[in-house]
Amino acid sequence: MAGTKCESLTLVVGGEALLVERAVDSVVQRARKVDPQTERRDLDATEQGIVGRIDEACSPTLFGGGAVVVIDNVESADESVVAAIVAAAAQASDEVAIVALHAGGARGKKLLDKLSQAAGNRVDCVEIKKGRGISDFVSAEVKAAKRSMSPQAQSILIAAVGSDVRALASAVSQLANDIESREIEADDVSRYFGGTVDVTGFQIADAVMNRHGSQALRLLRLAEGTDGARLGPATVASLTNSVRQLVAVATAPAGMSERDLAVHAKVPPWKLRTLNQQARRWSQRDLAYAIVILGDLDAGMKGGLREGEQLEPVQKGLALESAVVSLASS
Amino acid sequence: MWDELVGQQAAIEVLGAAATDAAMATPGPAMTHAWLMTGPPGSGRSTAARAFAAALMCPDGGCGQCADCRSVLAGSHLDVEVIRPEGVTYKTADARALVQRASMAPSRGKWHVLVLEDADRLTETANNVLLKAIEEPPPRAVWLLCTPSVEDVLPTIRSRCRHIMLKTPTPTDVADFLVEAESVDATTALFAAQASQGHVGRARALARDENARQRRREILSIPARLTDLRNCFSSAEAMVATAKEDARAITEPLDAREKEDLLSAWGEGAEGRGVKGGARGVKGAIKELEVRQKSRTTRTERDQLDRALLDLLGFYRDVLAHQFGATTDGSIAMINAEMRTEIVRVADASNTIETMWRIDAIERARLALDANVAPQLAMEALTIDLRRPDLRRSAS
Repeated sequence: MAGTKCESLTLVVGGEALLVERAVDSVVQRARKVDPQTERRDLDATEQGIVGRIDEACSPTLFGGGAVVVIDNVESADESVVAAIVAAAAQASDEVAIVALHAGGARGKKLLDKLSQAAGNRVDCVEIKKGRGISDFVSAEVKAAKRSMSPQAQSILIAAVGSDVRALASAVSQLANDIESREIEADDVSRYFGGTVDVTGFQIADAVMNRHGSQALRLLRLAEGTDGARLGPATVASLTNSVRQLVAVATAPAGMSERDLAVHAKVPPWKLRTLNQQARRWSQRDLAYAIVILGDLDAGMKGGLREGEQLEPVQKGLALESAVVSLASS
Repeated sequence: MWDELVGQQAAIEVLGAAATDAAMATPGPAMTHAWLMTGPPGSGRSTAARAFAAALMCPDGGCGQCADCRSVLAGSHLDVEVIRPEGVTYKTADARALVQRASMAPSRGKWHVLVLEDADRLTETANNVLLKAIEEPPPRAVWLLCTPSVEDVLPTIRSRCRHIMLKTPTPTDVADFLVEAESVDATTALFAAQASQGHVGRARALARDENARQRRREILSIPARLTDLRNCFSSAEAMVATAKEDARAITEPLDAREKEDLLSAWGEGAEGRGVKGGARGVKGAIKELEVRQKSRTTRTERDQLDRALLDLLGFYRDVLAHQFGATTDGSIAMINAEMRTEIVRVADASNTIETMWRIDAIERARLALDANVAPQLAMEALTIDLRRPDLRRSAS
């Protein structure tokens, strides 16, 4: 039977739990559309006597009715288990669907190859990476909910909820349920997720570079509520770095290739697009003035230039806020 | 032995008299147990302290030839301790250890001399720890504190020290000294004396080392190079990189030697029973050493940058002097006579107000370095201020 694809076998590969769950659910839902009585049977590929149990689970029951057999941990199973899965899939009636869950990666690579030869469907659930991966995920979630969300709102959402995929998914669905307008605005997001924030200096810098003064201030205030002292130096450092990158892009000789420009600005190539967009909002004079402000701010954070210029923690917070606002709006 | 003290005749007389009185069975009134040596950087505070220490040790009151004199000047005399903060500040713990050692009797000579270089780097608590020991000195201890100005130590300490004020030596003094001591030609000597603005050590380096002259030229070429934003940033980056490199050249050999000494003190490579167990603490000791070395590297980097800033300050001082017409009528000599063309060009392209703003900016950058502002950021802000001194003032 080798080489033929069995429609009844679905292979789910990858470790992103939420996506795996969704893949399994969608198989179950599809089966229940045909037969609402369809039963879901969960098995673990590493348990004792699993081969017999697969046979049992995949054979038709006395009283009829379909089944979805979900077999987890296939990556750690014996070859005999995989052979049993493939055999069961080949013989299974239309009413039975088999879903094999493989964690992906290097472990059980051979088993994976065998299964993918036999499986009629394959769903990849690759782990979502921080940064770009997360924001792409949020966009996809929003789109799936038939809504739209401004990038600004997205970044506030990610700042507030963090990078946990499940939490983000439920946050998007909550927003989609509660907000009636098609477009989900930044204000909606901060109304719902304002209190709990995991803000980094980098996000504040990003808001400043996009000239979103109010957003930058909001992020900063949210952060000050939790741990403003920690954020001072990190924010100055992130802002300085961002300004340097913009200067590098803004003053690069004309006709420089993307690759050279990335090296010149000391950024990964994918960041150039963002930088180019941001650079349009900044004149060279603005950038120069930004450095002057940041120099003064750094001195302020570190005890002042002269005796008696030492700032109280509250004053440091205010200095940071006023610098952020004047940078974003200068 | 006093030769190294350039242009400080008055101070030499006071110290010489003190050494003579100190040698008497009952020390005479010219001698006292605590001295504060002040003077601008490079005027020879530590040189004066060392020479005085040698005079106290020497049976002939400072011949410069005997074993005592020579070992003091070489920094290896048992009864003369020269303490120099290697980190950014003197810590309280350092001061405590020092006070303890001060109470030990001298091993060879009559006096136990403790020289504190850069006593302005004493933290306030460290100052207070020392105060007690200076107030009620152990019978044989002599304290020599070196600082740029009397305001740099606590008033309570100041009032218990006799004050020796070194002045900035004149270019002629320095040039004469260079010709004599370093046997360089008169032109080079005069250039180095002018350029160092009375800093003898710096004048020596400039007279002797082509590399130092090259660095200086690079720094002084910065004002003319700040034509756009990109050059501001690249100049700042280059300044920091050069300072780092120069600091590394100074500290890396020291670091390596200290680590080697430490390892051999802990018995590295030794074998046999008990040795392995003993070596267990070595990791902690190395870590401690590395922390201290890192602090020293940071300080050295800052010192290098500060010197570059001083060179720049001299440049704009010349610009200002030229704008006032003082260099054409001959009332003031240019510090950077060899850069005359550039200086005149900058002077003609700006007015005195802008020059004052630029001088302000350099002072601000020096303070910023002192306040631990990230060096590159401080230099970027400086180059931007130098290019557009009005920016900070016009912005609303």
